Amino acid sequence: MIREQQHEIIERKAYAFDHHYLYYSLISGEPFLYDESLFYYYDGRKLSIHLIELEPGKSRAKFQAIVQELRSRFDPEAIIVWGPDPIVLPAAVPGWDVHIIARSTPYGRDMTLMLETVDPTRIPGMEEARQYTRNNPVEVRAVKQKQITVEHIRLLHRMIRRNKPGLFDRIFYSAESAWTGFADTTIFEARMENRLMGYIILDESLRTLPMMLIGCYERKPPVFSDLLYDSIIRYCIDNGYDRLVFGHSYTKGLYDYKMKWGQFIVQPGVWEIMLSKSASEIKPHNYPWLARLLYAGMGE
Amino acid sequence: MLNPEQLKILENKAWIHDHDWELFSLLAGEPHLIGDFLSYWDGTQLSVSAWPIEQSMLSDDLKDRVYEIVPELLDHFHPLAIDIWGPHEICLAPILPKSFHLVSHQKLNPDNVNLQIRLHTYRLPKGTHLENARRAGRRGYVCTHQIGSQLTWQHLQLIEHFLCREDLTDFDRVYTAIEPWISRFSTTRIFSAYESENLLGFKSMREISPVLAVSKSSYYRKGAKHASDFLNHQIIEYYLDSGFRILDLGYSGHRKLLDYKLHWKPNINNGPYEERVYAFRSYQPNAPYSPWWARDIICPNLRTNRPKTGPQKGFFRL
Repeated sequence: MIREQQHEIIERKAYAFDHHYLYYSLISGEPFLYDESLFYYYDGRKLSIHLIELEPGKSRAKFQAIVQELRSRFDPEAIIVWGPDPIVLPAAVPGWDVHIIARSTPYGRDMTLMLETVDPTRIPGMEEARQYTRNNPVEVRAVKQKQITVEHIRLLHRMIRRNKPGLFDRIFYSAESAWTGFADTTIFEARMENRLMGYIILDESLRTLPMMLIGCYERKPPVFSDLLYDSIIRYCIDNGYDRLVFGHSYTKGLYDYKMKWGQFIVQPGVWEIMLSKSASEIKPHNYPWLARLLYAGMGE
Repeated sequence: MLNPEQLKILENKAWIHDHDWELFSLLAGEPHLIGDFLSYWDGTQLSVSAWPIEQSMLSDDLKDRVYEIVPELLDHFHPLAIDIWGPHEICLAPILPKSFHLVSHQKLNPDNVNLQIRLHTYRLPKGTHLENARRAGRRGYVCTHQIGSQLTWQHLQLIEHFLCREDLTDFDRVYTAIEPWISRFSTTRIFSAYESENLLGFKSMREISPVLAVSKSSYYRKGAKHASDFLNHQIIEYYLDSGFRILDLGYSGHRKLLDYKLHWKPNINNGPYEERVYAFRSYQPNAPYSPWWARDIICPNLRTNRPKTGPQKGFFRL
């Protein structure tokens, strides 16, 4: 478990989406912090190690020894390692299989916007978006609400169908309604004639590092994402933040889109590998805890 | 969505497990309070709880009240499937358009009832279970409780073991699988029993109003002797001292659990419930009791591998 003192360290050092251990723990299990730098999670059968460290490189140098230590402590059936390029494989273990779950891509990279570099007058497309709001009854507002509505669900469905994310990400999005129910989130909504055209959930669970958690919007006309991003950026600047995490991108198009908002700290691409005992029921198609539980009785 | 006024009504009037809108909205979608009934809408399926908010309505005219609101709900939402559960046999066939047909029916089961303890008149029953609980305490069992907490890997392991052991319905499976999510709400209190550092069992309690605490689920390590007696005793003692008025022990599920719960002498029995799912024309819900995110996001190609006909534990599928 992450103790209060460790949480303070995390708030001081966090710089990437991957440090949002509070959300990841909904998916990967009980969170732990190793050596004040490395996150790992254990769900009772599977150990997940996140190599995007609070102090980059600190644990990577002794990675094999850490894996060995955690294996001895928990005796897991499977180990997931998730990290930035270059890929590192734990030392081969007899009787264990290795699966590549995801390879890095040039665009699947975590991005953090340096808010002081945002110049609202020079954002491509922003003037057209503002023009659109002058000619149409569009309203962008920030709401603190604990209930996800069917309109949010519909936009999320469409986004999932469009982007076809992998299993882990689908569970990530499924946890959205629970997260908004109890966490410190603000939902930025774009509405036209009271119809929800897009929303982004801004998360401020780490006091030093606001994060855009989930964003879904109608793509036509292509103004709602601009209006929502603009609104969130202004909110973060007004509230004294110096950075805003945009997270990973599924496509090159989304990566390029994010780039227009200013200057970023961009993390390397991320890969994910899985090692499991050959006899284990934990496989790449069911490795997250929730998927194991659902597939066990409702398997495809 | 529930507005502030409706939230207040629910806070003041909720009297049974089925009024836990926070929990059920995680499973069934956007919550609504229409008339005296809670319903949930996920864009495809409409779920209606026929347990009325006004307890006094639990009378013969309940069916008439339900029949009044269902057409209104259909007009408003145009669902492809409608799921209704409640304390009586509520067959919607007479009021549904002919294009809807019954796809699933969980019948009233006298062994699966909702039991409650009215705390201000309650006396702990003397007997074996209380003795076991006290003995476990003397042996070194320790109970902790936390509100809005993160489950540990030991908790997750107990849940997974439980699901591997039990042949649960699809609904009960997802109801169980959201435990790590619902535990984080400030309205959930997790009671855990430990021996040394080993988790022997835990129980999640939903404090859904200032006076109503509901037992959501319990999980025990196999062979952890008297862990359930120990935890139940601790929980009853806690709520006797807490200012809550009703301790809802949840549904009993089956005869064995009913017998166990009756040992604690609950003084209210709200009876069994039944549940029916109707689908529109050729729409075939792949897993009628699954939440939208399990059905459409995590397992979009899911087809339940359970038999389509024949009895299952607690319900049968047509």
